[in-house]
Amino acid sequence: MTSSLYPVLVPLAPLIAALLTAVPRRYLSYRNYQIGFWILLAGLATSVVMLWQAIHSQEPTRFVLFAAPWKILPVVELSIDRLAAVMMVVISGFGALLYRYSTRYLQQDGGQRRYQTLLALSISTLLFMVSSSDLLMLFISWQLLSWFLCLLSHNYAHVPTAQSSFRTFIMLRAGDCAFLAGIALAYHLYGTVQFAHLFERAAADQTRLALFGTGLGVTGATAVTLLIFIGAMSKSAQFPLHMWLPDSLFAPTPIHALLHAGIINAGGFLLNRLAPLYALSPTTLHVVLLIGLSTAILGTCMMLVQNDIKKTLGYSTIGQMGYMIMECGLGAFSLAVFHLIAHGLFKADVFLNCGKGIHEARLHPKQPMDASMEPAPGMLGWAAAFVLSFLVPLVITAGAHYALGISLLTNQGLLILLLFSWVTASQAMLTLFRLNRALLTKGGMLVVVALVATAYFFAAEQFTHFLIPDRSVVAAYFQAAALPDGQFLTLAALLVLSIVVGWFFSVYRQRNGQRAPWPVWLKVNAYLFFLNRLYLDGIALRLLGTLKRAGRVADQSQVLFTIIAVLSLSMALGQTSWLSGVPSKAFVKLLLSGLLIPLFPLHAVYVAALTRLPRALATALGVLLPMMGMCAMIWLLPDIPKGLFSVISVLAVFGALWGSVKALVQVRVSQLLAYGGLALYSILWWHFAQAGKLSVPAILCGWTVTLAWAGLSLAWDRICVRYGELDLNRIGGLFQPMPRFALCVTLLVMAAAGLPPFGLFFGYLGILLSGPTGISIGLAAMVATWFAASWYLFRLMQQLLFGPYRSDLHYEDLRPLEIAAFVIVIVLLVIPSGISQGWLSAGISKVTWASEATRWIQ
Amino acid sequence: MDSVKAKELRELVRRASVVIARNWPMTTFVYNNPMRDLETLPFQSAVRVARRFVGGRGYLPNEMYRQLVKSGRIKFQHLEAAIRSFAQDKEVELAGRTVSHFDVVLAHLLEGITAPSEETISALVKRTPTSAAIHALARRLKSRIEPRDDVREIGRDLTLSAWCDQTFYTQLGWQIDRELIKWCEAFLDEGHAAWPMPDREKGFYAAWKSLAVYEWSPCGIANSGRKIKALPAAAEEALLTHLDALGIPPEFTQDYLSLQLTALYGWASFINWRSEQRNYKWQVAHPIDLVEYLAVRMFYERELVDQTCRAELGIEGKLKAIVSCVRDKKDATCSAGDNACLAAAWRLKRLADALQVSQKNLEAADVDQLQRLLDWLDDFPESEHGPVWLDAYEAGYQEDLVHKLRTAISQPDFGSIQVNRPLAQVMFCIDVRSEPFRRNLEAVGNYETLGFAGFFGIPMRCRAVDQHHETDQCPAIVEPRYTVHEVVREGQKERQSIHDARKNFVHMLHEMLHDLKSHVLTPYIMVEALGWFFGLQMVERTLFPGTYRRWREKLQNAVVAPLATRMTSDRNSAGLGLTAEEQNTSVETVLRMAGLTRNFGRLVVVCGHTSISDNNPYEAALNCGACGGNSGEPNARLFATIANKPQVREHVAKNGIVIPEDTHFIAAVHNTTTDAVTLFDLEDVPDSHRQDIEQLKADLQVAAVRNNRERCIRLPGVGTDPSPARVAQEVRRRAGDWSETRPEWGLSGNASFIIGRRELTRDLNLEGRAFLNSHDYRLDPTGALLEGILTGPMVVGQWINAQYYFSATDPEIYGSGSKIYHNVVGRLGIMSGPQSDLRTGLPWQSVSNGDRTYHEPLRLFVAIEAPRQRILEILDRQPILKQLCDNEWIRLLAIDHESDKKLYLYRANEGWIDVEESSPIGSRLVVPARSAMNSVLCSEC
Repeated sequence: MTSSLYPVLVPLAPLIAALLTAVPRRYLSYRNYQIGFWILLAGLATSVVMLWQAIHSQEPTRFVLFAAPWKILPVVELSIDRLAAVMMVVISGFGALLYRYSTRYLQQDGGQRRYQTLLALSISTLLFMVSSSDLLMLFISWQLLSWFLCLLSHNYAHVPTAQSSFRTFIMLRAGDCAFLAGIALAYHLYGTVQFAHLFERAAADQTRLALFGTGLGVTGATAVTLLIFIGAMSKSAQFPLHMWLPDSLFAPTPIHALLHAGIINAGGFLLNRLAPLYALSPTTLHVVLLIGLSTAILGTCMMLVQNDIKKTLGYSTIGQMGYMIMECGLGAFSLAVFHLIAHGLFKADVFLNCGKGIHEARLHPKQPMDASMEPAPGMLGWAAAFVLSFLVPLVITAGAHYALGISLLTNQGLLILLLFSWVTASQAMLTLFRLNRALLTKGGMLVVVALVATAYFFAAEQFTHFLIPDRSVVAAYFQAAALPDGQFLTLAALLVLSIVVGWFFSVYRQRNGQRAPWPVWLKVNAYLFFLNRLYLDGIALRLLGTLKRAGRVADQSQVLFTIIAVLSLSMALGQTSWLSGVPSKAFVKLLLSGLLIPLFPLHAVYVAALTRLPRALATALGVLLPMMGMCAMIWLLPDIPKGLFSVISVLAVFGALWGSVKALVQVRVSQLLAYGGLALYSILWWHFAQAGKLSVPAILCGWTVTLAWAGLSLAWDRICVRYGELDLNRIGGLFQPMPRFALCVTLLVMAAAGLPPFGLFFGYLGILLSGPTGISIGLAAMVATWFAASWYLFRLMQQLLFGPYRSDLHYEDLRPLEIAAFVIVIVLLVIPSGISQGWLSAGISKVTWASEATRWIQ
Repeated sequence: MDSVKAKELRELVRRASVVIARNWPMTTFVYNNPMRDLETLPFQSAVRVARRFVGGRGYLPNEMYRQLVKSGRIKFQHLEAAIRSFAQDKEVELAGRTVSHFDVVLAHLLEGITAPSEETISALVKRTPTSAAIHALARRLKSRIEPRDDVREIGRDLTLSAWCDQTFYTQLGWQIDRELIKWCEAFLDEGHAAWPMPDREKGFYAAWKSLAVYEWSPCGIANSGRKIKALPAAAEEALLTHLDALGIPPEFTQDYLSLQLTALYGWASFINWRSEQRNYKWQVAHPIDLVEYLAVRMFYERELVDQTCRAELGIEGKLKAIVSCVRDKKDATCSAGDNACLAAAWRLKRLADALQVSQKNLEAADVDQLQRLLDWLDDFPESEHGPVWLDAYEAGYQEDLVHKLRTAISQPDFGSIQVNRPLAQVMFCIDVRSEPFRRNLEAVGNYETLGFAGFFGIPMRCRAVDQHHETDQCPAIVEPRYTVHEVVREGQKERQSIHDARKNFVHMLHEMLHDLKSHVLTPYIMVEALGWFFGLQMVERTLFPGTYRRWREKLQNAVVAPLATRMTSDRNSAGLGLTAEEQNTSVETVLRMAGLTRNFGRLVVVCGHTSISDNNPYEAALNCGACGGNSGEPNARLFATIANKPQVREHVAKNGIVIPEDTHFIAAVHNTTTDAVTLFDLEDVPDSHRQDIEQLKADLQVAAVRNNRERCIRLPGVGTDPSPARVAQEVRRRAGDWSETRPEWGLSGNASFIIGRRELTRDLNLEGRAFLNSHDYRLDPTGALLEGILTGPMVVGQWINAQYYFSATDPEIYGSGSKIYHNVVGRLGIMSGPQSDLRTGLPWQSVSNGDRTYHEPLRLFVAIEAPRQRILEILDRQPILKQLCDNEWIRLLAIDHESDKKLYLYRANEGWIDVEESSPIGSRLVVPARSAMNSVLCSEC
């Protein structure tokens, strides 16, 4: 293990570039962007040095960011092995080019400053992600990317863009939640999140988990890898979480280059990073294979029916990502990295060049029903064609493997990939045949194809050796991914069959023009299926419509609330032996605390305080009540009988879900905040019930929720002072006339939705990691609550800031004093995450600061 | 269905379609007036109609005009003159202080005294320091303020789906748009999709019907398959059924259909254009028209409105039901609240501040007088400020140009006959970009330049060598009459066979790549194997765009060496080329129209123009509009070839135009992005002229450098005084940089069209804002040539001007928004993002320079050097021209050099008016009597 300083320069360079353009407008000129570009180039140069070093050393280079006495993570460091070094060069390279391109492309655009800053921040985050040495830091970057990606949609004033950015965020957030659950599970199982230790312990661990107490069981590794894979699916746009990608095409063109060449590859990178873990679970690898293969085929089919360049490229990316994931599922992990780089280069170039379409159309206009069919050859011609375009490619591909000494027969994965190579070469030959040119040209082409194929196999093989020098490891991965013989043969047979059918289909078309050899209804339905994006939009529309109606009913019906309240209470009391020996004093304490810090169904006081009282008082109570509640929890509650804890636990689960549902359907900000508060404080209650006391992460969590909520109330108060109390759908587009306000709200929402680097994320994480082992309904409910918070808070931000602004209002941005207030809140929100001493470990250790304090006071 | 009803419906749809434009495919970006069908109305009314239906702004935002006042571009005297023309001679007495109507209007223009929305006014007033005073004022006004009812009428100004969206916060409009975008994209696709939409040959409506029947629940419509199946087979009948189902009464129908058309303005405009093209191959193969489009669109409207109304209100989705439901609700809440009074008081306070009326005066003023002030403000709302601003804005430019022209004609030697023989005559296109280049070339040496529409009088279809298709090399208003091919010159047999073989090889590579990309199983390996090469290209193109372009060209030429070519000029058996007679008349007409009949130089350069830019979907917009958005090269080459023929020269000599033996015509092309001029067919130049050619080349080079500098300074990011090296580098970069959204300014800035001899403009710097069309009124006693210019190039100029005008006033609706979101769709047009309306007009980058507009949206100012009586006669003969002038789509100026050396301005109903009679000139240029100011829409629309 070597340690040196310069690795940190690579991710730091874009960060500096971002700071350089985030300066106030009067210090900003074109020069800032130029300097930023040079800084990015410097970062690129450093990363090339890193690669050089990685080539010459087997050990990863490390850089310790800081050492912390946390149990969960003793040291936060960057660790650059070959995989990370390759990814760093790729990302810094792309980053520098795109930064340069955007500098000109967005010249004079009103949002260029914001755009370039976010671009540089995303690049920096990506670099941190690939160089992190543990799951936690990786996950922090992972989440930030979700956030930046939806902000990079850029054209906030445009309603469809705003909607697509919402959809992007929600889909990515769903993946984030699963990922987080995976991390929590991994930590519970293996007691570490550092890769090196994780892989070691996981290999030794044999735990089997029972799902929700049912008989179904999976191994620990399978559960962890599957959960994390859901995260990878959302980032890498795998079916059915691919929906966000085509919608995100509203963003400026260079963003697509970054997205399709950088961010979307995160899934492939993650699987590679965790390859030793995935190799432990053949089940997961088979799921990965299935998802990847279906995404590849569905994505590419959707690509074929698109009529514009950006959607074509978007769906093509989905297909390619499917293939990349499929490669992982076959055990060819390093090949997936090879693929993602090659594809990134290809797609970025094509995207950046997509204005060329009209030039092409001017140069080579097409005819309706291209009638320029060449005369079909006779029987002998067909035979020749069969040999040339069917058998020759097989000989080329197999021969190249033989020449390069790649053993095909020992592993299934390579055989599947060989089939893909074969069909590609075959199609290339078919083109020769279709165009019916002179023999010499065809001969020349044949040589070209053979050369390209050999060069490609050679390069791919070399790359694999470079990434994973140990051949036995490569073989082990393939072995782990191996399918049972029957399944493998079916898959291979299907692929071969599709090649044969494809070949005959092409020939058929050659002879019969456009007429396809299948019935009309099949043709039309298949076309519509892919044109309508697998009808997933329709399903989503119906589902959301139903949910919205249900939510509205739930919101307005008092009866429903009563039923649920009664249900929750009876369920809660059913958990414990009926009130035996519980002193009434304990009930009073619980009642008091539940009134202060909302506990279902006692939340009415909190909600009323926030919604009915005058704004200033409501804001103050929004801070005071939970604060007092937390004090009550610390000092009053620990000595209540243990039996009550299970009551609290059930009520908290109900409260979390009820609050989330209510918050989702509100159109008034104060009510949204009140019910959102109920949901998030319920997490606190739940944790309290589980741990039997208020641990430090929980205090942190409660404190940051309170602060963030205070900040949001303050923001809403500032709006009311300016424009009166409007419904959420009566005001919008504030980012344009009120940029400073917009920035504050964005940061507050980021904090409240539990994103790093704000304290709430760490508090929540602490709660999750210190919770009970195993998958429980309560845990699932808490993850769902967290997810729902992202939903309504992002929507709040979107409705306030995005969309067209009303030209019939007189806008006035924040004044210095108001800004100061916001800055204080935001700084207070960040600080806890910077406190390195003890809080993360505290959740685990027996002695906590809280109980210390209690004893001291007593 | 009987044919009479169908015919009526078609006529109705045609009338409804006057509010949309004609949208040509991007491959031949044709400039046109987005309000061309509204030119029958006065400019102001047309803009208002378009605003109502399309929603676009016809003038700059008032705030921008105010900034122009601050920057001095709009002079106060012009603004004053514009206001005087309609200001009433009335005053108000505010406790001793008098305020005139003029003052109020001026203050309103300069300050924009409009109250914010009533629901926010009390919060706003609370925050102002004078809150108490405003409240007091509001109390005094209490009894005076009447409730304002500016609700838009459902069915006439608002579609039912839009009403639903407004009322229930649904998104029906966007849902319908998405469906229509999907179908339009799929149906109109010109070869993009690898898997095209089936059944397109049936026509749009039938194809949609046969497909949509199988669709599962489009935008959540229940049982859609059954409903679509039950629709009538004819689109007309279906449309009538839909209208019936929505309960649209006949008197609303036209407006309702207009609103349906403008919902997707760009797509509808494209269909509007395409349905008129009988010979367009895609229209022949896949017919579509607006009736079919509406029949499809209204199906979704009808079903969704019905579904929503039933779910939300429990009524059926019919206009009548909705209107009565709305009326019931409105009756409950109808009185002018406190907020309305507060808003009025707030406005009065702002007006008082602007006019420096003291608080005391305001408090003491009579309520009647205050009421009157409010009425004045209400009668001249901010939405009506545009016309006034535009008049003042135009006056500034016109005054400047008039001043320049007057200086030119008052030169003592103006109009005297030139005797010395120029080195060469260079004939340029009338394009505004030729003006600075001509000026710079004339400054370099003894050159005479002329301006003529860049297709040089030869409307033709042309096929370039190595191409399989023909391009229309003529303006959009002209039908091509000839077909000409570029062919390989004789004696290159061996070279050609190598050329062809290599070309085939490259073509095959392209095809192979394409086949591999559009396949279900092959793109993956293809990308893995070839992706790396793209990376190399990306690095080079981004970091070294200039070098990349040079290398690429070199490589291309090395692989497939170019061949020497010529144009087929003589009519051959295949029908290509022109007959001898056609050649004779073409050359004679052009020379006569351009006024080039004597004093020929040793060289006559026929110079078309083109432009080079990379990754630019708008490249056709930068090319020669007179050549259908293509390069002017083929026309120039053909003209030069013909003009060099002995029999043509003989013919024109017979008719009095003697071209000397030693005059050689040579073709050239001016690249407007780099100012490089390429000469063509040098093989045909006689040895005696080699020296002249060298001289010409050198002079063109010098002129290019000068012009580069002039243009470069206007482009952003270079500064006001760049070094020559910097200029050269910048210009070269812009032409080849794939990340450049503004390779050149194009025709941005165009504002005037000057028809006359070069003497008129030779010494003037017109800043590249004028179309210059050469014309010598002395050679045209009947006015026939001038008539040709006015109905041809001038109309094209007006289209260009109007396209730029509206793209600048509303870059989002009449223009195509920012280029950074653009997405090429179906090889025919542009969308913003994955799903949007088809964009029309010019991108934001072509008209704006940061926050300011670079293109000043001014109507075309046409200056004609000719006797004014002759011009009037032409106007009488050409109703289209008269309509343009009378409805103020253009302004006409006559330079009557013949009779009294004065400048005259044309005004509807008044005829010619001497510009010099009054001072300042600008005030005379403003048209008075704005009767339409407060009138509501004209009844025709």
